[in-house]
Amino acid sequence: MRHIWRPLLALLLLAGAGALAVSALELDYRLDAFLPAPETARQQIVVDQVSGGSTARLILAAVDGEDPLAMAETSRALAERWRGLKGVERVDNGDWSRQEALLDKLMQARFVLAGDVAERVTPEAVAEALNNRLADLTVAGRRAESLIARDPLGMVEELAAGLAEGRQTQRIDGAWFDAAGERALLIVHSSHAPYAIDQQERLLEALRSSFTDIAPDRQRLELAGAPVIGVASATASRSDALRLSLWGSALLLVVLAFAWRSVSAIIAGAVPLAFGVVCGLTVTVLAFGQVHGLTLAFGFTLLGVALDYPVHLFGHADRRALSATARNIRAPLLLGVTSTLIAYVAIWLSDSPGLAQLGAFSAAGLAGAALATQFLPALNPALPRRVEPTRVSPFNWPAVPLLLGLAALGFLVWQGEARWSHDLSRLSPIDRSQIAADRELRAAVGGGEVRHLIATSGETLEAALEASEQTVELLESAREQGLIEGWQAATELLPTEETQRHRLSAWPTAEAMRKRLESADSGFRSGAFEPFLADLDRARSRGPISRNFWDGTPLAARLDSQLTKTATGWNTLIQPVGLSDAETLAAFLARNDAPAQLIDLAEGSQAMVAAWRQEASLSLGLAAALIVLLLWLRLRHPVETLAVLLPPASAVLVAAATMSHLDGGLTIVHLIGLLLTAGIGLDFALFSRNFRTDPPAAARSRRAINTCAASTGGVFLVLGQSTIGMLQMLGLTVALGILLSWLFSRIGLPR
Amino acid sequence: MISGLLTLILIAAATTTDAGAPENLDELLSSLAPEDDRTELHFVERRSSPLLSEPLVVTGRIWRNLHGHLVRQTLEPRETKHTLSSNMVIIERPGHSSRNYSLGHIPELAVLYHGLSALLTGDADALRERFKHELTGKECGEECCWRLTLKPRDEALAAQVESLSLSGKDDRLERFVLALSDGEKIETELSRQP
Repeated sequence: MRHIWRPLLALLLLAGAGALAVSALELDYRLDAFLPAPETARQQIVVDQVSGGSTARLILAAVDGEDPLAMAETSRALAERWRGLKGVERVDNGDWSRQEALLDKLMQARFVLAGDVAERVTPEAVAEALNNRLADLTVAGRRAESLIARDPLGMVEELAAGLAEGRQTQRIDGAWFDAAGERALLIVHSSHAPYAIDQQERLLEALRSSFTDIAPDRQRLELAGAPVIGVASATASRSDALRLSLWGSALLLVVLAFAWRSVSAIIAGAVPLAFGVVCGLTVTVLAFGQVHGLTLAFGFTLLGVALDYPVHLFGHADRRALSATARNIRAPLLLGVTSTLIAYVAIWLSDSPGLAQLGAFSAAGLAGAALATQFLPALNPALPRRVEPTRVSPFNWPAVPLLLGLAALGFLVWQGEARWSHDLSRLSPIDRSQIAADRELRAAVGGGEVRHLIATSGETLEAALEASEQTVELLESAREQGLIEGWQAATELLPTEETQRHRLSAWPTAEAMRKRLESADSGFRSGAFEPFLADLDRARSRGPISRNFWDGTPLAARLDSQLTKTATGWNTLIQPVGLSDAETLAAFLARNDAPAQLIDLAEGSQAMVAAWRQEASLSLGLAAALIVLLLWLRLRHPVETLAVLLPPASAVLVAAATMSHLDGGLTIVHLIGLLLTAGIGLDFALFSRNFRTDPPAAARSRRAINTCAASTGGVFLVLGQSTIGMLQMLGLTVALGILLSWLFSRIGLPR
Repeated sequence: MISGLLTLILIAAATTTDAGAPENLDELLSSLAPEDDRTELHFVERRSSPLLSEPLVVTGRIWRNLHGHLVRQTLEPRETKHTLSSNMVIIERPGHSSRNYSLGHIPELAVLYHGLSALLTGDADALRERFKHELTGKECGEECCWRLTLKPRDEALAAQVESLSLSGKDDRLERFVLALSDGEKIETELSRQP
């Protein structure tokens, strides 16, 4: 027992410090931290939209039940309740009748928002409109009177319909429903940033609990959208990671208990890793001020290499003091650590803040862990109690890794571009079924086209809006050609001043309009439309509306999302609806000299990821060259250097080819896994090679490597059982890589 | 349910047999028993509004469609089709997409629907359950004139609709008047011919 106290105390101190640091950290879960810094205005739009755009804040809600009218009633009650919740910017359910403030704003703005004024005020059009109002009276009676008196031309209903988001939905009793009429649909705009997971989670809970309060028993609420996915994935990651790390740790304990048969050795074995984590956190916080949530997750993974260091130390222990063993393994250990450090520092120098953090965390952690391993003897742990191994590997078949490595390389070259995966959704830490549910609901709501945007820009807001208006004119003819079903443009809420003035001047004076209404001989008594004429008078004297006009209404948020101020001026965004063939539309816009570009968010982020990958490949390539150089300098022999490099290089290539084939292309996550594989494999090869002339030491080394492979490989194999795509890819890549590294360093070293 | 209305309306124009004043609700309802529902009925509705210089005259036809819904098509002032089912009205206007509303928002239609359907299926119990009723009759010439006044028992409906009075001669329904709580009266006359 006397051996336990020091290691235990050290481990507890480090665990305490690490836990304290993690809990004090402000973790930030922005996915865009792993994207490269945007360089062009177009890339900026892509990054904005991917990370915090309005579509990333949309929560789609569906009320499922039996009686559509009761569902419509629930939809209205829900919308009213939800509008009062903290964190809700706006709720749309198709029904504007209960949003009186908004209706009043639309009443005021209709004179500048509606086009074709001259056609609306011809005697025939006025007579037709008034006849329609009589028809309204026959259904709605007195309830319609005040609306008819204020809006005899029926412009507000038309505007409201045009502004509605879900154009492909049907309405039952005024509320949006899916095409089958089975679910009432609502759209909630959250005011929280998409990555503010805790706030989003509270908002979702509040949405659900108001539903429980007001909905009848047999109705159910379904929520979807980016915030829901974000919250679900955070929860899933947490529970999945917890479950798998428990299993992984249990496996690790079993392997180490079998290998060492000493409690104090196992406790001491955890000290370097814990010290590495504390070092990594410290350096990251000092260098970056905060730590990205994903950095922690991936960083812990990359520190998995450090798990092997005490295994090598204890594995090589003989009758001498442990400090002598530490000195004994120092050369290969340091060489392995330095090589891996070079790769991690290369990541540190990356352009993307998330990756830079990851590199810093792993490099510092690795250095700390290696240092701690050297000082482990000071903790005076009991030595592993096992009989000395004597058997040495009789296999020296370097041709095996060489041929397999070349075959894998050939496969990757033959694959060409297909070796890289372009499906970004695979990278998100999300259960796939959730994404499917989200897409389904999005399609039901309609207008959920989130992949494309049409952007215009200008030096002034007016210029950007003018470009937007010209584009909308072109879109009108694109609609006639069936290229697009509709769109939402900023100019629907804020036309250019010129257009607004033009429209206002096309309106007759209140006096002239009064005569026109009376001469229609519709059966309405004279003076019935005074409220309308008063509005007209006010609109004419007020002139054009400005951006602030919508302040205080839910439409302000929509306008904000469509107008962005940039360093050089303004951008406006047009959101297409029902865009079936983006390429044809882009060609159409280009052919007609549209002052706008169609932006494909998916393609844009793919292009950025590709650019990032190139940059990362370049740094890693440089790092690889440096590692080769370092090994050569240290081992002083080209054959020795090649002998050490062959097993890990071949293992990485074969693992890359296999995973690329299985997963349909490699992603950033695979690359991180391969990087870890290279580090571990290099250690295996260095240790095997270093002690090959000393049979007892070689036998100990071999056993240590077996233990490493079983423990670390086992942990990642467990991780590979995750339902989360990202964890699964990582776990399987590393587990396969370790298995191959172990195999190749065992049979693949030359004599 | 609604099928009865048409039948009722058919009966309204049919040659009548000599009949005495109905003594009670059950007797009236059984005399209005539905027989055929293939024909359509013409109506003339009058409603007033402070916006109008004179009452609005709405003319049109009513018939029952294959699904058993009551279809009310107006020709003047505008061609419009209203399809009434048990809890909803679907409104179609040429050149516009169809809209639908819960009868809950249009209490006068709800009262009309519930009153007429109970009446026409001869379900006196349903009528008593939903409405307070008052039945009067008197001799007018060779026929018997009757008037049935219904007041909704449902508080929400009663707050908006004062009463529905149906009147006719013998076993014909000729006219109904919806009196709303705000004083508005909607009068409808029925006939077989335009």
